[in-house]
Amino acid sequence: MKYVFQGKLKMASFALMGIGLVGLIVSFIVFKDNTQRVWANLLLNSFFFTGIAVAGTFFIAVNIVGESGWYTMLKRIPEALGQFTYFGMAAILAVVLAGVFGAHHIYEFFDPKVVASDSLIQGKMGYLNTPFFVGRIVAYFIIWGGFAYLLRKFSLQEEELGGTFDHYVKVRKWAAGFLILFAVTSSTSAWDLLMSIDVHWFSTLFGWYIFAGIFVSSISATMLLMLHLNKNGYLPNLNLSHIHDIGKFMFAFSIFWTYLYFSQFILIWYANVPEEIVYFMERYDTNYRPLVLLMVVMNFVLPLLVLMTRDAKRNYNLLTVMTLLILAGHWLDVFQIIMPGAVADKWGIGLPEVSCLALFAGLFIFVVFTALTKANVEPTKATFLDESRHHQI
Amino acid sequence: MHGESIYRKPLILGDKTYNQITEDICAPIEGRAGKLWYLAFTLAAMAALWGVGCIAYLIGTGVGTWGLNRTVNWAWDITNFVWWVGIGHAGTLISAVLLLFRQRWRMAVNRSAEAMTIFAVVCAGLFPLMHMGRIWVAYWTLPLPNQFGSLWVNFNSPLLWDVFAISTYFSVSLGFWYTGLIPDFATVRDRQSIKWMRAIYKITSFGWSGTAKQWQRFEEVSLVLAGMSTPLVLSVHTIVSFDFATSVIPGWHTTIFPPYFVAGAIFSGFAMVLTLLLVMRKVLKLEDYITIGHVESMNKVIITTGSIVGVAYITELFIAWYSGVMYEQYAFLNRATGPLSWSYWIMMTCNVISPQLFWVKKLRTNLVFTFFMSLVINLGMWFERFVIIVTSLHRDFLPSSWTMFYPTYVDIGIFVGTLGIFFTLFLLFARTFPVIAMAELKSILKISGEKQKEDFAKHSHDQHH
Repeated sequence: MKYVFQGKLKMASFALMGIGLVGLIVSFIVFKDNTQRVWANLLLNSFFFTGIAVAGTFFIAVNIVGESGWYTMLKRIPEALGQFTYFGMAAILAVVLAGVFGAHHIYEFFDPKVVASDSLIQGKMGYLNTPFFVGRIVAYFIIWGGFAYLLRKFSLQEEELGGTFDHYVKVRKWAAGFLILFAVTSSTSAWDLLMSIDVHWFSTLFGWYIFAGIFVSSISATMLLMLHLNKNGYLPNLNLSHIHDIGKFMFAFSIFWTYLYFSQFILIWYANVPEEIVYFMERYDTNYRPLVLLMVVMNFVLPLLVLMTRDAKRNYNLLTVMTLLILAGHWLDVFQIIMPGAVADKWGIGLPEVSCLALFAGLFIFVVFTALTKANVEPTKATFLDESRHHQI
Repeated sequence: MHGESIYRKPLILGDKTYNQITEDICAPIEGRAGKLWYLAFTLAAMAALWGVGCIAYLIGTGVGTWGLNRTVNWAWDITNFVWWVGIGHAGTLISAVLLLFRQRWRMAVNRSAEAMTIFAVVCAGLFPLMHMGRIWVAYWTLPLPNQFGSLWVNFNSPLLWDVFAISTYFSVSLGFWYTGLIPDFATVRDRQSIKWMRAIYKITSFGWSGTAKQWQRFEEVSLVLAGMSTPLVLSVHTIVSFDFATSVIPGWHTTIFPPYFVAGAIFSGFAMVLTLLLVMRKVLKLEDYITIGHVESMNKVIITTGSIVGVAYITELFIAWYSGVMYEQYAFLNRATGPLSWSYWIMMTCNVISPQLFWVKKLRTNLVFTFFMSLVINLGMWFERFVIIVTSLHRDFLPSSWTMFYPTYVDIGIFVGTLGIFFTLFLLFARTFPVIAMAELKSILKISGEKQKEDFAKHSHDQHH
């Protein structure tokens, strides 16, 4: 059964996009002395939603390579998430190019005058020079977008081919190829798009910490869509075991994200080296502190306590609340990564924040649900479909 | 219970019955050991004895018998410690994490992997004890009140966190392993005709009689212990990495250490599991249970963790350059081109380049090649710790303090000794314990047995027509 994208949800996605677009234009006028804040919000939301999309493709690839059977039932969902990659990467590229042409100074190293006066940045220009930097962003666009397209195409082919093992073996090679490329690009993209905002600062763990964040966001988005589709009868053979399993991923990767956030924090705090600790001083000894602490509660304390029990991972209403909480928490995480370097203490939650989020959320809903209308939400033929139909834990 | 996909390879080969599984796995315990076993045991025990001798000399004379000097004040001792702790990780990963991911192939290898874990942690635990110099005050590492005559331990020290992490890990691993053994010991006991052996297995099986209530409690305890083990896999090597990363030594202080150490630990642990199991399956004739499919799965874990380690190496190298910190940059330049660069290139070749060969299916299903690779990886992972520890230390901040490190025969003797202790324990295990979790393996016979799968496929085929 294909998804029918209509009614309130479709209206809502258009409304969000419309309100967001108007709000964005108004923001540029109202905040004409601080357009950096508006640009930072564009970067924040384009990164956040692209992260969800590309981690969806990653989830598919991991399951293919790991020969997992249980997820087959719900694979259209991360595939649909992956379809946002093209739009999200286009937005990221636009924000980066705007920086190159001087519309904002989130990436200081685009400005030759700043580079000329800063010997530390000069030392990094072998990596951060404009052609190489922009080239990398284009490469992420091609790699992530290309594999989001390919893995979905192969998956849809199964509907006609009937899920043969030969086809599976072929697809597995492509999926493994993506995993290798993603192992590198997930880290380098985090350095390029986020770590370079605080251009003097560096941390070897940063790439994996960002990966954990986008993965848990993507899993939460998958859960939210799964619950919606199941309630509306599009996944007739989905059972509580599938929901429970995705719930386990939400629980486990919330803890994994915390593990990486904490590891990075404690090693820098403990060693107290000036060029490293400055990053956390900008976040704990400034007006960002309540935000950062709230973010840790949302991303760690609540998921840990609420999602621990079996019953919680099988409760529709509770899970809906928790997915929204985790998504909001990781949005705040990206917020506190970008804003201190971009706008220092001149941050706020106001028109630019709300309108940018609305614009991207609207577009995301539109793209993902449109992708769901293109094929049977629940696959009718796939290699391990039978195992997934009888999934029981 | 529903059958698994016909595309999945059987995990138990041949036409096995429940009884046949019991017979096959109890055979080594009930039969007599071959000449090869005695030869291996003699060699291992001799190495262990040499190690014990070196340890005794070390404790009697002092830590000065090691090749340490004022600049390189940590070397083989901590290298061996980290290496052994790392090897221990595979057992817990197999029994806890692969359980969560419902990997059925783990059932044939979990028992010996967990045994290996415990023996490896025993070997690792020896090093901090030796390193104290005064082993008779080892209890000072415990948080005892001041009335005992010493000061409170330093809770700020990662070395103390290590004591807690390793002892917790050891206790939980031992508990988990032993719980699983109880029903299997009972099986061995019930088949045993020699009176004194029967008496021993009677004690070790805790009077297990296999009632429904016992099984229910058994399942509950196993689940709780598995839940406790999973965070422990991450925590133990995270704390070990903190021993280095909380410092400000270039090459040690880097934030990627915690997850990268964990990945490296699993990597080396699987290599050691393969080293042991490839020999064991042959000698104890367990080829039907530890199949090529099992070996291939483990090799896939090795590619994954090896690649994670490779990404971490390259990240460290890149960020050292990117940071613009000259000390950091020099530390890595010295690793790659300095006087100990040979160890760096051994590490890179063994850990990053060679596991990539497993992408080729022919190689990862080749037993001889896999055995060779498992040795290569064990060697590479030893050198990884050596590179991190010694090359970072031997070039001090002041060039006037620069030195080299040369191991003494005591350094070497203690390392060889722990290898001896490890293999002695494992050889004893292989003769006296059920090396495969019988009760657990029987639970997948109907789904994953070769004959059973064939029958199932035939049966469902008939139903359709």
